[in-house]
Amino acid sequence: MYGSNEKILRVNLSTGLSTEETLSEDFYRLYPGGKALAGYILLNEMPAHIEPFSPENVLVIANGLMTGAPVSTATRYVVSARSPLTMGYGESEAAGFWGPELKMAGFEAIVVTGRAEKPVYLWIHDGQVEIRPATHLWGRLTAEVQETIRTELGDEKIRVLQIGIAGENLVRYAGLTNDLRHFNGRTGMGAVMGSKNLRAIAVRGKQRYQILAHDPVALMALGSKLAKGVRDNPQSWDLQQRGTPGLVEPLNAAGMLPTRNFHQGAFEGVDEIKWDAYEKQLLTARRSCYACAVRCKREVAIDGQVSQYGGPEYETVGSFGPNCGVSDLQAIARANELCNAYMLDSISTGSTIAFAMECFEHGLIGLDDTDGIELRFGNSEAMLAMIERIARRQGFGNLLAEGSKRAAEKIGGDAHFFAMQVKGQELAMHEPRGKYNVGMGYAISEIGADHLVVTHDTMLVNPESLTFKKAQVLGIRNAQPARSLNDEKVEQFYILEKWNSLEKVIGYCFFGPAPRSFIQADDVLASINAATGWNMTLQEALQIGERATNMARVFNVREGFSRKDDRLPERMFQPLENGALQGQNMQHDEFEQALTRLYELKGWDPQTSVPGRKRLEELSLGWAADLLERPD
Amino acid sequence: MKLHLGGNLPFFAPKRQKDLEIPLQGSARLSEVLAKLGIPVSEVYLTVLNGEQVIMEETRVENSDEVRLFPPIDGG
Repeated sequence: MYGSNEKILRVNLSTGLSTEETLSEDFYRLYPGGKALAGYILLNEMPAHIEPFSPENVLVIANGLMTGAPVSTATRYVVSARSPLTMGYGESEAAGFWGPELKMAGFEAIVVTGRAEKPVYLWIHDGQVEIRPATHLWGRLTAEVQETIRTELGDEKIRVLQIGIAGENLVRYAGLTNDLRHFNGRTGMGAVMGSKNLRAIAVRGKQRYQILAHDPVALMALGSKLAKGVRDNPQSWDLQQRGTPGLVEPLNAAGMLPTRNFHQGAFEGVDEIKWDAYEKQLLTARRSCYACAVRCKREVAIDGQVSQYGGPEYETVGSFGPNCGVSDLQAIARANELCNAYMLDSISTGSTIAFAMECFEHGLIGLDDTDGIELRFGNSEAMLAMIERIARRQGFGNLLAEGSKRAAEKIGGDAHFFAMQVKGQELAMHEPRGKYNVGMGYAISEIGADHLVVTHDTMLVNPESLTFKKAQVLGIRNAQPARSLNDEKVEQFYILEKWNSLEKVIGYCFFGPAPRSFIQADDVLASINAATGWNMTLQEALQIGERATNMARVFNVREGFSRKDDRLPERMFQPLENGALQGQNMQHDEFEQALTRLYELKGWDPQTSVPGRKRLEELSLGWAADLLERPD
Repeated sequence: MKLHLGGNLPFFAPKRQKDLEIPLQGSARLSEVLAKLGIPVSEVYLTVLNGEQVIMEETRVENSDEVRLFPPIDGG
């Protein structure tokens, strides 16, 4: 088989044994890595109701088909398990260099089961795997751990994927990092790894992707063409120039910058945190991921000192900036560093702190609860002080480490109105009241609120725009308003979700394929075909995406999730308090009608959201339909 | 007329600059001013004239005006 090492590494931390498994081409064509491979393994190797912190939780780390190819943005891998934050399907993607290095070391994926008696780390190099002691690494910051591992293994080029102190302490939204600046942030996968006493996975490999490819010449020519095209496309050019921090000013102008826990859509302090300020005060360099010409990563210095952890991306600027009412850019950069050093999801951390700020402002909690810290909007010192407390589960941080949903349940009263979460995962820094399909994505995603479910509505509003024209090949017909959930918007959601899901399967970053960015759909297919020789059509590619989403849905159905869990925080149905969208809110009946329509398009039961057998069988998931019918 | 190009709109400017000064005689249609500069109105999501949000197609501008333009924004 081309395009794949065909091998999965299985490590049982309870027994200390590791084995290899070979994938067949027939299997791999249906489940070509990433989200698809993870969903398949979780459904087939774990019964329902496994406690997320128990040894029985299965942790899957899976490259995509294209991960490590000499093509810009083909860099992503997925980390997946039952989530301790949502108690449902957990999953987070990241890029950088680690995924490609694992592929070069000879493996498509690692499946970790059991629990080590004492802290350990894995060392994988050119087809070999060792389980090494990590007691000396436990309790240390991520930068120190990476350096120590590289030194003791004698190679500065080793790529290290690791959890931090937050994962060791089972913070429900602890994440993983590779190279200290690429993050599997969401759904608490770091806590699952921590519960297994697994601190890190170090990888070194030398086998280049080209050896695996069906037509390496065509693949490299395509990669070369795409690399040259980065600066000729307005999306990818801007990702290089400004990167994601460039989103702050336009979102604010459009009234869609989440401010003070989603009360407002425009922030009076925006001039102090927009790209111009970031460039002047923080930026030292632009960096890239493996073989990627986009170069969207930012390097920064904080108070004049170069940071080991990279600069804050938009989500972090948003969640520690306007959403906490903070306009101090140095404080925001410091918050980013702390999250990365302890390895906390910056979105959930910032959002949970904003939740606590609102509780404090309303008198639901007081100084006695917060260790004497004035947790008010705008208090950047209080915000920073909470981060370490959360990571170490100290004082009030121990409650916040549970996430805003559980913290709200504990605090009681009106607190649940202040938790901006879906299924237990906090909303990202995009305002649904300005982009209704983004709202639908938050509501319906199997991982809880996720902003990367579909192309954002605003990109497809103008039929003359470049992004709309590039979306038409996917089946997008007529431009529709951003603030609508009419039938055609729902249809667009259905199509775009499949395309984004495909990216999560085969390992493309969101900043690669159109309509979001510069790689046309034709070229995505051409890359798959140069890698594998499969002659894949767009229809088959979209089916791969739909298959992966359905497996995640089946996982959640087994855990008791239902239509009632596909909802949005009540605040989304209340008017925005300021900015260009002042007075705007979503409507319950419009949302419910759209949800019913979406389930119909997906072939799911409109009352319960359970996928119907007919659609599952069309997607070669008859076995998943059997699973659903089996009594628990 | 002062023109500020937000987001990725500088991509379309003659020198990829984000702030331009455009001398105008009398009043002109904003869409025509942009067409002369090669900035496609189809890439503009939000038009702000002297601090107020306006509709591009209906907007006329003069030499003393300040215009800020923003593109649509996706996630990241």
